[in-house]
Amino acid sequence: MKRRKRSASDRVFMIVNHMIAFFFLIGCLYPLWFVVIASVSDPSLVTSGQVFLWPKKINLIGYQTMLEQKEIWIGYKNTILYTAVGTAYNLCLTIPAAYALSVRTLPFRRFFNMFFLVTMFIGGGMIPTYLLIKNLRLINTFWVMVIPGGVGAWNLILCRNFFTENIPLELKDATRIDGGSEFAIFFRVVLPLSKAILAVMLLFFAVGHWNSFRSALLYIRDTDRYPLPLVLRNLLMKSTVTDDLSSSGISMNRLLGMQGLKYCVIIVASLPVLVLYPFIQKYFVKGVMVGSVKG
Amino acid sequence: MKKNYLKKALSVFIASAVAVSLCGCSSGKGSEQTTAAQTEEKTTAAVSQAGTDAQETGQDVVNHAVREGFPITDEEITLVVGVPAVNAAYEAKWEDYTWIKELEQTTGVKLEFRVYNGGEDVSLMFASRDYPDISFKVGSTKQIQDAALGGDIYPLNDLIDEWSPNWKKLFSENDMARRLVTFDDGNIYSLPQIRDEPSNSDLRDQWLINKVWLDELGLDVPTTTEEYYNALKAFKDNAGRGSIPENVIPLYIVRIFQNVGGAMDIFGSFGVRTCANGTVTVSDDGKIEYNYASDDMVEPLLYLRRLFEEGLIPYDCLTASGENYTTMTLSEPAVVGSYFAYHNAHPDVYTAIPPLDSGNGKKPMIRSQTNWIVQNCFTIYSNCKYPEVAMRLADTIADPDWSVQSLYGTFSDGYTVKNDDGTYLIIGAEDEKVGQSAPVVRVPQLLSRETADKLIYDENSNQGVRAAAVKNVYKDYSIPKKNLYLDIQLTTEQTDRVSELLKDLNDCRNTTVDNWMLNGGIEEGWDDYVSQMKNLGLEEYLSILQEAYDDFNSK
Repeated sequence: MKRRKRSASDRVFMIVNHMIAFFFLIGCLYPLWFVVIASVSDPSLVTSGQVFLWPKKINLIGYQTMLEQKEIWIGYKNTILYTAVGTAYNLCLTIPAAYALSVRTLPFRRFFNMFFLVTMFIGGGMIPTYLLIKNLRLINTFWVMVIPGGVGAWNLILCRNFFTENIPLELKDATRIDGGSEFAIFFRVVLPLSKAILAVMLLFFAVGHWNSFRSALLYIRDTDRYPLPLVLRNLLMKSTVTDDLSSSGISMNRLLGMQGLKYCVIIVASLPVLVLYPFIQKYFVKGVMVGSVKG
Repeated sequence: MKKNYLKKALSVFIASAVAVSLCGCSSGKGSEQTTAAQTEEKTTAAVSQAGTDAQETGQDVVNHAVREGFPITDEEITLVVGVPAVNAAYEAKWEDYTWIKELEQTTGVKLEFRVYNGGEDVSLMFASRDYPDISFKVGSTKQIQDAALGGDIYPLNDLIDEWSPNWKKLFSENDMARRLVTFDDGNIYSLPQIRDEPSNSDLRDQWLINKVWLDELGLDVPTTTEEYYNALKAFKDNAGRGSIPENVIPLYIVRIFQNVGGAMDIFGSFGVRTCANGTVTVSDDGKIEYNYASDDMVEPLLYLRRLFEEGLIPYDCLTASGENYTTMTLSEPAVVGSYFAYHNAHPDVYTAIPPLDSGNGKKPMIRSQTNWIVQNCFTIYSNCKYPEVAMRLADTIADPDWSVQSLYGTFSDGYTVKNDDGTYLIIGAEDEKVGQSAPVVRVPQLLSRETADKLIYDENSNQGVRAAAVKNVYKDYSIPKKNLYLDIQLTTEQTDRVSELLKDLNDCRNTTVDNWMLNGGIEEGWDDYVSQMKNLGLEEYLSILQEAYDDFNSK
């Protein structure tokens, strides 16, 4: 096939277009690149702004310090646990609920839909939620990072739309004719056909759990239960010089040693998600676009 | 039809949800109030009950608190302690400090820690009234004041009298401390941290200059602002020669008005009195003064502008962060010619210089600190079942041995040594890990002047170098205590108004001065700046503080 010839204005448009896209690309990639080079450069050169494009005075002291920090590894372990258990729990709740809501014969279907929808507009607020969590005796437990927020209304709707639009009624009828129960329809027909949305939900929930530090900040009081993002936050926010710190016997040299650490922790903390993304990406576009176009 | 029905159902549902939540709120409040009242009743009941128990058995034990000796309880008791977060540099977890383990062992009280990371979760603690039993350094004066009004906090006066000889002694000897921690209603709701240690509070930052470079250039240690300027200029002119690097920074500061490492001691050299832990100072005749808008500031600002203009201070400094400061000033080999710091981390390179003579006839001075007393460091909440035990715990921490160890590391870890004559040797942290032995400044220590005088610092340790500088270099220059404005308790309305005003004033001051440093125009812009500060309520701000100060002094 011969390529269609482009007009001059088309070509100009494409060039400008590519240039703009390229700058956006640089804008997105540079911070990532900077974190990578900063993690292996001399911390004093990094903070004085001399590390710009390439690492300088390459060393692995930051990584070495990180290996010595017990709390980072405890945080890592906790985050993996919270993410694994939390995501499994989210999926167990969200997928069946979404499927049930997609079944047109469900009694009070609109009411249930509204019921979930309301939570998107009205939240409890910080203090009432805290009191609720406290009365449920979840404060400072493993489960506080897992149980609250089991179903996200947004994700639920996304799943429901997927089921409504992608699973033909005829398939279910066929299953029934073959003698399959409602459970058989769900487990043996619907779920295998819904890998795309399962993958997307998995990623959404997993990334949510992986990055979540706010509930830990509010509900977790025991440093042994801190997730990685909270450890990281404390490291970033508190490695600075405060009056308090500088008046203590703590040596400033100790602080200096902590400076290189944070970039290393950022890398180690985001690595699993970066690795996960490419594998799920092929489902991603398919899943997210569900319901965007009515056909 | 169907849709209408649904709509109605939905509106009914929402309406009822709102109604339920409203009821929930009001009944919640009501029940909370009653619970607060109930706990109060309960605790007083418990106290009196325990009292009678003790009388019956004839032992001096009240509510499990043993009056003298150790352990301080007759059976193992757990206290939940709210504590500030583990800082990146305070490395160990609270449970793991040697000091905490020893404290638990000695007192027989098991401590369970609840760590608060910062403003948000602390506010949540006070708002939800979900308190630990006691807390160290958690909560601001205002938060504690409000909680005390709600009956959530134990007044400590009687407990101190009965259970804490150490604090009782302090408050009877140090009237200033007593008045500072006493609230309007005459009660003490929170114990302070006392660190009346000259090597800490008599000086904020040491003024350090690179002695190696001075020697290489054949210059004397500067004593006047002009000599200092020439020395900085010589550093710059000789960049790349000898041990002075190409990218030399003659003077490094962290913004202008930063407490740690800022440029305020330069103002002091010109005789402008400034304060480390606050904005205002007190004149000799008891007037509150805000010197950043006084005409005396023009001269030092012009001097500072000259340093910026000639590249002796990089413009980056106006936006520098604490991290920049740490890495720049501590880099090896040195790139900074002069800076201000609490500790002189490289005494072989840098030497401490006194504030400089500006030649304007005013006596140069250097900042000292108000943190010999820090308020709100030990609070007992009304849900604590054993306030007597808690107070004895506070008394134990206030004991000189325990206080010294908490600050400088434990005897057992080899950071401190108690000599036979009662003095303490502070060895200092060779391995820089004192933060794994003791909680340092985050517990309610009581280090009175009497105890502080017994501290002998290893002269090679950071604190030892500082102590020597305070004694030998800065003694005659540090701003005396009477000129410092302490953290006097204001009423809730005053606190709100003051922080509101102060924010505006600081913003105006910082942007104006930063602009002058970048572009000059100090003399032309000065009158505008002063009148702008007045418009922003400088006088109101000062009068509130003055009123509080006068009240405080007449108490």
